[in-house]
Amino acid sequence: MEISFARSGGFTPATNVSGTIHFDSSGAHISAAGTSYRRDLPAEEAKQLQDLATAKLAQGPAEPANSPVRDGFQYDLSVKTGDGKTHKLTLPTETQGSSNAASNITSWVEHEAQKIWEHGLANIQK
Amino acid sequence: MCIPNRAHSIYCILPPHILINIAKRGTPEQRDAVLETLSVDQSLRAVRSQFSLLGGNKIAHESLTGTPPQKQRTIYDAKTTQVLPGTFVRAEGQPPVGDQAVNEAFDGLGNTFDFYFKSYQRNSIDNAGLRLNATVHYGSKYDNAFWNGQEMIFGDGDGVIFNNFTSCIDVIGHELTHGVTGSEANLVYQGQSGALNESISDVFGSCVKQFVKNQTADQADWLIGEGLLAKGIQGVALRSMKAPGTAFDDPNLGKDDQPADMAHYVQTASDNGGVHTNSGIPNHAFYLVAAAIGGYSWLKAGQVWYDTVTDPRLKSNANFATFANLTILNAGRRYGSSSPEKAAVNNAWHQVGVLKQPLSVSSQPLNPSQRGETRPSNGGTQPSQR
Repeated sequence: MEISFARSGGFTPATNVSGTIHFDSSGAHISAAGTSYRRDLPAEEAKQLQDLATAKLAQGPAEPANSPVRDGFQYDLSVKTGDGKTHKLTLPTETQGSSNAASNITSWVEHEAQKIWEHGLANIQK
Repeated sequence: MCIPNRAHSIYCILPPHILINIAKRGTPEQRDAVLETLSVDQSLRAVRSQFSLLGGNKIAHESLTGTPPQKQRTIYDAKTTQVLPGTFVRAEGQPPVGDQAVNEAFDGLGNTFDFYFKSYQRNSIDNAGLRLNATVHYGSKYDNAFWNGQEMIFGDGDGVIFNNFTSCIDVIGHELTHGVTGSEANLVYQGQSGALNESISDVFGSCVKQFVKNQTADQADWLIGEGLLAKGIQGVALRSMKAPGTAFDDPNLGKDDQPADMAHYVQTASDNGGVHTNSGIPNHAFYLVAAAIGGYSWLKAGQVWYDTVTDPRLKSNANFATFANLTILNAGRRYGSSSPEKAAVNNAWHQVGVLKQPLSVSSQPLNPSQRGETRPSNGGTQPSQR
């Protein structure tokens, strides 16, 4: 399995970030193209993330969003499964009211995207 | 012709049977104009009836009697959390506090409220005096400002690439305008309708800034978020309405990717179909209109855009061309079918490639009676220049 995620939108697309989670026999590792960001996921977090992604895919395509939020960030998920198929979905902007799995994975992606963004900021400060 | 507007009561001079006679016997241009009036007449009657039931004339009455609507602002502090609305810090009538972001948000909301009322007699976001709430210090190193459907939320920026998002009056005007659009056409936030939604916020955000600075179109910088980029970042703002795609070009931030015309329209799944990217096209159209007309941009170009945003015929799924045609119709209705204002709007949309076929502009304009042009019930005319 390989999971990619991306943050876009916001007041300016200049704050876009993306990352990829590679799963292998040694665990899971996150990287962000074009940056030096690397993070090894603890086994428990990796397992939880796989479960969340699997559950989200099982839900099928989300209903068209009718969020009132404007200029909010958009979070997209792309999951490449063992059969070679790639499944893409946009996570709901508002976690409130959505299922636990959706909420959690949205929250996880939101936090990881911000980590990647702040990693870039730290490098600029250096 | 009537000026359809969701907010104001609408009175047409000419009854339908006279309009029909004009349609039968008039010139082609007159017939087109009359048919347009008749096509919207039924929906206008419904709007008028509903407006009356809702007590809508009260707003117009207030503006006639010289009692302006009162601002009701409340600012909250999220204290770098993402819990809304946060802790109450300042309300209407209270003096400035020791927090610059709080005061900037408070003043920015006030300026935007004043802009809408003085320019278009609009009473707050919903034209019914809705309270204006905002939360500052949202999140940590939060590089964004957004409208959540109920209030405006501002991050502090990270101090490395972005400064505080309350520091720009046009950003505050932009966010509040999302509320205005949401209470009018409620343009779907996806693809072209989403880019229009974004552009309308940029248009009136820029107009608010020009209004506050008392700038004419040729004096304005036409930048969105000027001063928002931190020192050392190569750029002047987040967007340029005058020259989309030129606001920034920085190794850490990337390059401004806004197109200025349809030939460079960006197809993407990101950002709800590129709503903040392709908004550059209608943004540039507005700039071209304002520059061609001259003077204060909010008076004529802004009025045409406002008439269109509040036009019942603007549907939530409108695309660029639909919006463009409505702006042309509204410019003709307000300023005359052969007016330079209408020509400026027409030319701008063709220049950015949204419209392809030249519109026929009557060389024999209808007189005001034939056009059925009337003033809204509040006696509104062009606001006096500041």
